Amino acid sequence: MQHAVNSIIKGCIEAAERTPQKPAIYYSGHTISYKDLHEQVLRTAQSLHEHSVKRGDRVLFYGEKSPHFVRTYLACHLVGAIAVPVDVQMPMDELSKVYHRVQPALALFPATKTWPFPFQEWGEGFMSDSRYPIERFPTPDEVADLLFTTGTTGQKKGVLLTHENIWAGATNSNIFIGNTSEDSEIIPLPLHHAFGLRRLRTNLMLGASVHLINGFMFPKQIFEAIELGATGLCMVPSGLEVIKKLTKNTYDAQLSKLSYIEFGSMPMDAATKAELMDKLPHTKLCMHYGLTEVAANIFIEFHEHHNHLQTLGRPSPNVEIGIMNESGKLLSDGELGEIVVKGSVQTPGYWQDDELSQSSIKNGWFRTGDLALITPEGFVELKGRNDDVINVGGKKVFPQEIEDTINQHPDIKDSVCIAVTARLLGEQIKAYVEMEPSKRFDKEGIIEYLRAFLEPYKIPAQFEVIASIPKTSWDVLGNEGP
Amino acid sequence: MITVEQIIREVLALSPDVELSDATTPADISAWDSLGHINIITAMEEEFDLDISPEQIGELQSIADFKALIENDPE
Repeated sequence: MQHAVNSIIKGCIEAAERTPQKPAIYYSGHTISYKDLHEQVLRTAQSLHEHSVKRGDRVLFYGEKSPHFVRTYLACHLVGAIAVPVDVQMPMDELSKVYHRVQPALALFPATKTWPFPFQEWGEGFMSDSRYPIERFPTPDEVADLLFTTGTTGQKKGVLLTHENIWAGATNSNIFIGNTSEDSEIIPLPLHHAFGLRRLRTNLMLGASVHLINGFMFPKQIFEAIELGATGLCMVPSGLEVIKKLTKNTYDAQLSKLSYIEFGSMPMDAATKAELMDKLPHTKLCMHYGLTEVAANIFIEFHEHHNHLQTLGRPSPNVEIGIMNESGKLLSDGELGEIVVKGSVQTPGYWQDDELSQSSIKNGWFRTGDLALITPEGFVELKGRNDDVINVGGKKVFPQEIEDTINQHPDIKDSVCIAVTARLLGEQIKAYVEMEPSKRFDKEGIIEYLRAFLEPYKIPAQFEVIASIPKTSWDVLGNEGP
Repeated sequence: MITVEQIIREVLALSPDVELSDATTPADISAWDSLGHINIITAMEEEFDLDISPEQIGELQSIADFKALIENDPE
């Protein structure tokens, strides 16, 4: 079924005109109606305009869960600017690199810190007294977002997403899950990340409500949102493990009231899927497979596809999935190759990286780097990855970046990082380090050093000192990984 | 006896120059994420021989809350 291409911002403004009194955002005990959100977006857009932000300009800001994130994000789209939301945990050194790569027309950050670049104070005050006059909505091919994801080396990849891409990603997941404007979804996920941001867009374009919750550390906040009438939840499997642990497995009394949960970003083991199906028999349990570059392109629903739970599921609505060999030939069902994706969700490429943009596309298909086959019933069965990525609670980490950073420590001669299985996060990082002669291993000191350069989830959970790093390290150390 | 602050420092591998007070919350310490929170609760249970209920866990939002829990434990 073909859907007319539209934009998230247009969908949101139309929803505000249709149902102005309806809650758009629940946040920290407050409610913002669609009418108020509409007003705030127009005033924020006017403020961007007054700061000379023009079509195609980048606007850099934190992907924090707050109403001013939502209005800034939508206001960027309204004025035709490219939203660049970044991880609130990004170390200052990394943030500075992103700033210089992106060259934003405006950087919006709280005045509570010193920033190594020019910035405008971000917060409640960043709204003009007057409203932005809407003359046009963005066209499908204009770039809407620039999202930074982990690259195979220390250099992050800047993924460009057009308005058509983000509209298609939201629409396709709506069709699979069956979201309507009556839904009210809890979003505990970070909003610089493709998953959380897609769920935000998905709900706002429909005129549904969102509950912005700060992570999974306080399950009580999620349960209070359910008491307020929330119908859906998006989460990573590690978030579920956190909730299970913090509620001592009493989570089902509340989560079973939900109509749907969407999982994603990391694998879920068979035992957890079985437990969820048993404890939440009437909740639609959806799980997607996707990348920032090609959002949610495969879906599965556990109850409906209970005979295929070992697979990722079937292609999402409006998305083509193929299996390709190294020479670019599409393979038949049952043959092992790389998952490739085609559809309106497909990124036009990477920010200022033509080489990577070209190598990621083969014969019009986006290459995911994941190895799989398609079963005779049309389900995609994942068999591995082409690279050595470590998935820490849904966030991808490439060992080389961590090793390069550890090796810059003056007391360390060499290091190698591997994935180790972890109950809550799926995988954690273990670092083997070789010290410089006569240097003593100081775990706290090394961790403190790494915190200046790496996001918290990239800090190894385990360290072990060894006499020397073997040159064929994967043969010696790799057998500990999952 | 080991203190709440010492347990938090050890579990989160904090350097000595990170300041902790009763008012400190997870939002103040980047290493105090959900996994760190679970590890702190587990360490508290082991160290003080507690069985913290889900309702009590839900109230643990600052160092002062952890201290109050330990001080109010009948054991």
